[in-house]
Amino acid sequence: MRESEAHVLDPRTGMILLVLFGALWIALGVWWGRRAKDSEGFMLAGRNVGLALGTATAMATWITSNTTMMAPVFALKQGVWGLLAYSTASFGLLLFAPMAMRIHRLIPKGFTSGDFFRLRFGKTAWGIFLAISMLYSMAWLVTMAIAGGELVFALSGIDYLTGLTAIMLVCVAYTLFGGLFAVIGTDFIQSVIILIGIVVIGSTVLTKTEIPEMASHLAAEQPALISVFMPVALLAVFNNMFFGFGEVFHNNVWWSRVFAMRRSVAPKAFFLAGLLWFPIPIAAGFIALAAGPLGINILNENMTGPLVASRIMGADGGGTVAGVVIFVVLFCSLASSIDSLLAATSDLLTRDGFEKMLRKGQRLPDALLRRAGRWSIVGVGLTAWLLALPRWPLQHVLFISGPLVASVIWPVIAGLYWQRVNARFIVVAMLAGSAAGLYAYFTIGWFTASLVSVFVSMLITLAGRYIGATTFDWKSLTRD
Amino acid sequence: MPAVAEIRFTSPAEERYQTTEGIVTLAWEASGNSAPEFFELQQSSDPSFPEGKTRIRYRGVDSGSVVSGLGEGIHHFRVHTVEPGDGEGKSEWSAPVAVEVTYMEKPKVLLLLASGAAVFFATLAALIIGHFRSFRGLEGG
Repeated sequence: MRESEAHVLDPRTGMILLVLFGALWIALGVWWGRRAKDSEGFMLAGRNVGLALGTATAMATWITSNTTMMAPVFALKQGVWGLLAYSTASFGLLLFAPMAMRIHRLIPKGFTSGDFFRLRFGKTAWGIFLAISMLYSMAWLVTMAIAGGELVFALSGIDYLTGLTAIMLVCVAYTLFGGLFAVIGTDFIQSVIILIGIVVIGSTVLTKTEIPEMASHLAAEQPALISVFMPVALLAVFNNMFFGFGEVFHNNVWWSRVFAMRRSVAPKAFFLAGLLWFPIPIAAGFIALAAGPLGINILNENMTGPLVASRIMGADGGGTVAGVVIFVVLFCSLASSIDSLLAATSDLLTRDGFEKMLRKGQRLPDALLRRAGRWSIVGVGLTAWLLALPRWPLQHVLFISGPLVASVIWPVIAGLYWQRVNARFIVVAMLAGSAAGLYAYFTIGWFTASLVSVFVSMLITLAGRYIGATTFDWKSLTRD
Repeated sequence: MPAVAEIRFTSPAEERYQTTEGIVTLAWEASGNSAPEFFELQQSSDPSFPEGKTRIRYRGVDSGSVVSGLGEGIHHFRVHTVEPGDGEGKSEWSAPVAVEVTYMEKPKVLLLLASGAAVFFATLAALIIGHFRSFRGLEGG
């Protein structure tokens, strides 16, 4: 398919931006890394993160390149309902706020979500939980890596391999040097840049369009995008919401932040982050609805956001400026998620995999844990890079992980709030929910998979509250 | 004088494309002419493309277009090359492609929506009740 659009930046400018931001982020990683005196400092930033940084890191981590790239695709395909569907992912952060309070209360010295699951439900449930979490985390990480390479190419013409390698190298380097201190610190900067960038791009689009004209164009040319009854879009609202619940409730990216924040801060930070995140996909997706009324032809649905943004912003002769703004916003949205995934996944591998599984729960010297943590960051980064090289359509793997993570929603709720529940039912809930969700994915459609999964998992978990339930000693969580 | 290009759709592969999502990625190629072309893509609800039921979907140099927001029904597309200035046709029309948009049956959709709402409210209730019971020390911990 021949394209009429040139890259918004020339390769030289793109390379300068990559090198400048890369060097700056690595320097920040080294500087912040000095604060980590031991493995706990490295993994959990001293367990002393305040409200501003806590809110910023939660919000920035949840703004991925999926948010800035997929929200416009959702709007292009599912219209107004698509925008709302994407925004419901913020509900996961909002509902995690009270859970953060409970997590801090139950397991204040915890390290990972795996720690909790192992102690609460035993080894079988823990194994399944870890398998789901690792699959989802790696799928997310690899899709971010692929997106990085493709975006760098689309925006500047720099070849895919160079863009992919540069982004992964930078993120691995500053996470390696700085641990969670660097991740949270850079998240704060990235969240400010992303917010400013989205406001600039969104407000530029608003100045070029009149809402009534947009509405009448859509009604005439793309009526389904503003239709009340568009089944895929309606179902995507719930599906996306439950996917979001599952992602946030189970993943160590969020649990590590709970442990990193001060006890009184964690609930407020997640709640604020959810509120601040809610309008971001709406703003990002809105520009896709403007494409038709503005006569912008979309060639590749995955590039809708950057294409429309660069066309609109470049229309007044600000092509290079537009390109720089878009490049920087997308770099920040990628880096803020890649670093979090590297850190959280390596924590799971170090703490759950190395310390608890391989070394059978032995108390290990701190230096050894720190070394293991660093090697696992490198290992996870290298694995993601290798998996990203062939550019498989791994977004399908990410979507398939939706029913898997959705099956964990009710087990996590039960684990945190119910003193009595049958752990075997928890195992069955995760397995049956995942199976049912995957079946729905392949037979009905992606837009039902997470919904079906959580429905099945919920019923089985509820049954486990009343059938063969055993009483759990909460104090055992703090004895480990 | 350069030969007038022959046009054909390369995407979708089938002449009758089915979707439940109201979106299709159209791509076309012009053969028989190495010079850049100016294309016109038309859409109609009628396979004979009568004037009152046909609209121009795209005009420009791109050799493809993502068409979204299609309502339920059959939508017909065709493309040809035109003069950049006055839009006068240069090549013959391509063989048309029909895009059939079929939504999921309403009862099924409503059942799934009801299930989604039930799970949402149940999840909310579990969290709220769990939170307050935890506050009052009723579940221990």
